Amino acid sequence: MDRLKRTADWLTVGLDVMIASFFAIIVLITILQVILRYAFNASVLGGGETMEALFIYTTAIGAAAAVRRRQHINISFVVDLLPVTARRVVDGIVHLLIAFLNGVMIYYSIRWIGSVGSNESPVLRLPEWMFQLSIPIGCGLVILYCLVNTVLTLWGEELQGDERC
Amino acid sequence: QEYVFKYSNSQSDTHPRSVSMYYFKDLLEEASGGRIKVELYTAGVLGKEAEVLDMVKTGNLQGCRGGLFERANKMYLLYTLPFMFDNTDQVLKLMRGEFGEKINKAAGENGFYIPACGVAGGFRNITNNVRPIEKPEDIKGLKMRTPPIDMTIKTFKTLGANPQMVAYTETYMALKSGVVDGQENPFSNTVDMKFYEAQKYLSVVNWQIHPDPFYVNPDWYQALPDDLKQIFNAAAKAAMIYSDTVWLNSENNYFNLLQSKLETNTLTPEVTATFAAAVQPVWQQYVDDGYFSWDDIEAAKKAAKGQ
Amino acid sequence: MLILLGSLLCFLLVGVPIAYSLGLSGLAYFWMVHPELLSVLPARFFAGMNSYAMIAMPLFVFMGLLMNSGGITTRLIDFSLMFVGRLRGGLGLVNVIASMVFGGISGSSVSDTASVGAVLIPEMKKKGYSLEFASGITVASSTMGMIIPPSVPMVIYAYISEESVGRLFLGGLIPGVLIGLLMLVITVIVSYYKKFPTAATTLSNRDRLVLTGRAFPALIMPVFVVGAVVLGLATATESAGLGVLYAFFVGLFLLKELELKAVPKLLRDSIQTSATVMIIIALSKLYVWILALERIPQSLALFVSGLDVPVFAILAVVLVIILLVGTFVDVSPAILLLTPVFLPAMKLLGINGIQFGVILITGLAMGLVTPPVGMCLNVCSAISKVQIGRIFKAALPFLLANLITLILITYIPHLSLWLPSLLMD
Ligand code: NA
Ligand code: NA
Repeated sequence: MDRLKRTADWLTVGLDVMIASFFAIIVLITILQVILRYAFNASVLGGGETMEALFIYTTAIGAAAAVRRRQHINISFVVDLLPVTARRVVDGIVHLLIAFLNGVMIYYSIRWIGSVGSNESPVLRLPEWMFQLSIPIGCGLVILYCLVNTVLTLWGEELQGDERC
Repeated sequence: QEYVFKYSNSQSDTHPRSVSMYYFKDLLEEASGGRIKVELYTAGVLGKEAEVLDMVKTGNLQGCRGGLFERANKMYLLYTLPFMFDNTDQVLKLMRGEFGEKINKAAGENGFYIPACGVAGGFRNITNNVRPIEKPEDIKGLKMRTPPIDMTIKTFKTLGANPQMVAYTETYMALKSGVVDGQENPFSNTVDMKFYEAQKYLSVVNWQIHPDPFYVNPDWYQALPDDLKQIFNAAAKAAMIYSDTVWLNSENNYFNLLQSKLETNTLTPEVTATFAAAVQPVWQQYVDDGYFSWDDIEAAKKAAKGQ
Repeated sequence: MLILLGSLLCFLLVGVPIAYSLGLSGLAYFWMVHPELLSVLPARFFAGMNSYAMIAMPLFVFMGLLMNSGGITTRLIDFSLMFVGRLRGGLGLVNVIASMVFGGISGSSVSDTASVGAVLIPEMKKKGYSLEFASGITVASSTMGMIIPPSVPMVIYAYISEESVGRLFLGGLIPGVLIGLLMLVITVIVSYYKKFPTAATTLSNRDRLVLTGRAFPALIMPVFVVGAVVLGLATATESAGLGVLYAFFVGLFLLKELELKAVPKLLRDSIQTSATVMIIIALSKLYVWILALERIPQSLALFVSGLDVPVFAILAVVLVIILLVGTFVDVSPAILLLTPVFLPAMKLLGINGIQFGVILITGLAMGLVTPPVGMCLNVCSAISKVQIGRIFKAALPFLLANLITLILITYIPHLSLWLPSLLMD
């Protein structure tokens, strides 16, 4: 179990580094665009599109990391009234529900990307599957973390009820 | 059996596009004796144009109208070549004739059935704050707000302008504060978004027109019995002609309003020819990229002039 | 309709995150009512995540975090002390003023509670204020953080309602400042009643100049960032980017308290916050799509406008709903749930989208300070170790300022509309 926990947390750190770097690039492009416009009367073609693409990936992946940390915004004051064992069971069910939703999402996203993924983005003319792939990737990670959380919760990992925001 | 036709566009209920679709709804429901039910969702409640277009392709919706026509058929871009047409009659003749039918039909390969295609408003024209556009050189150095459309960006780059991507809804403030000097749109949009309040010059250069294909999901259409197919096609064609009429007429009213607000100049045919010559590299690039051939362009020009 | 609302409530109550509750009840609806539309799920989900405008959100959050790490809070507090230190309840007044100015450099109330609270609550305790009072005034005054521009909730509302961010920012300025002024009055009254000490300081004119100089980079920040959006010099996203650049500059070179090695963590925190909000937006797009398909907002609008009830009474009901939802739901999901449902009806009643946005956000800000779901309460309780219920009780007199302002802006449109139309028309 410890090994599962360590592997999962190692992966989470990796994802953190990734989305933080994506965000850093977004910050740089934003600033660069304003400077170019005012100082050089120029613009980065496709800058906006690149930012959008990176931003989508930060959301898809960040949502998965937030599942692991139980950072998603929820309404917990009802569940908090339950005794600890019941809370563990409910927590497990909640994670399985989330996993189910994300599974359905992956199933339909494959057909969807197959159908419209070859559309080109308006400025960079990149095929849109490059952006749309964020959905199966993000949802896959969410399912992974849901299962990890369920196993660890039933095993006795502390519920971070107070840290939920 | 009753068939349901769910349709969406981004414009409000009073916009020519929506008005013509209400016309379509009445026409089709009556002609089909209620066997086809049309459900219209206007004002973009079901999503942006690109999203809704995808929904039509995947069959979640049955129809829509809007931009992004190159996703149905790259040949639609031929209609949008800069300085391609002398007047809107030429455009309508081309679109409604054999040439246009062929383009509509070829959209089937990309997963769309297009029973008819019209124009998305009149010609697009330029307003700006620096100087009237009287010759190609006048565009040089202008900061132009452009939509994220490749043809537009290439054209203004070729003419020496500096295209700036600004969201449609933020264009007014961008013009007012001088982030950009000018913009290009049909008269209707320029009035609708009050762009003229922040501009000095209107130059009627008639540089481009956009097609307005009526996108339909092919599987839905194919499932109709033959008699309903014909009724559907007839209603679609009538609705698009109605749309062109309403839309182009409204452009005239908007033009009159703009003339009273802005210093207006109109190009002579001779000057327009110099613009057309200046943007030939754009045409060439699209031919080089394989969107269409010079033969296609020549054939279109002939058909437009009724030759 | 019943499936949609019923299943959503069930999922929410068993503690499914709000984002996934929206997705699951959308899934339940499709499965039972329109199985042929199931394939729209990924498309709507993607559409919700795909937004240039919303990139402003993590940028504003990042900007606030940078300013904070750059040591701006203590300087703001010193600056405020200079004005009101000699009055009774001086540190209470400082708390309110610091929150007003801090509101102008941060887009969120929670970060206001965290940063002002961390410095002022211990200080107030030292000077003889009760911990309850110190905590109460901290959370209450921090509600201004998301009303005074810039504001992250306003960026979210602008995105959902398609209103201009600049106009919303300006619309929030007068109501935000009004809340601050009313809170100052309330503080003075409470202080005389409770005989709180003054924070007697003797300052020479030179000291005053130095203190002002130190606070200056923070004081001009709102003008700089909000001004860029309002004048259209940059999009909201770009001016947030400029704000980040400015905060870096101030933190590294002027105040010299920002450490570069702390930056990666700030980047991570900002984008994590963003992801938890964006995922709600993404799945609410799905839910709202179904509402539109069923024409629910339209029907509600027609129903409300057909009622034979005066507009002011309808507005009163809407206010109560906003406050109730704000009590149980966090700010961003509440905006995402309420806007698409209520805005069409409000517009039909002649309420402008900007005014409704300011009302909504001012109302929801109060929810940050009311149990059981109140982020500012949680953060403050973590700092002061005072129970949430007791902080809320101490905050109550100050929330009167929010309530009065809320009622005023609901019935006097000029309070939220005059400034935007003055500067932007
Ligand atoms: Na603020
Ligand atoms: Na609350």
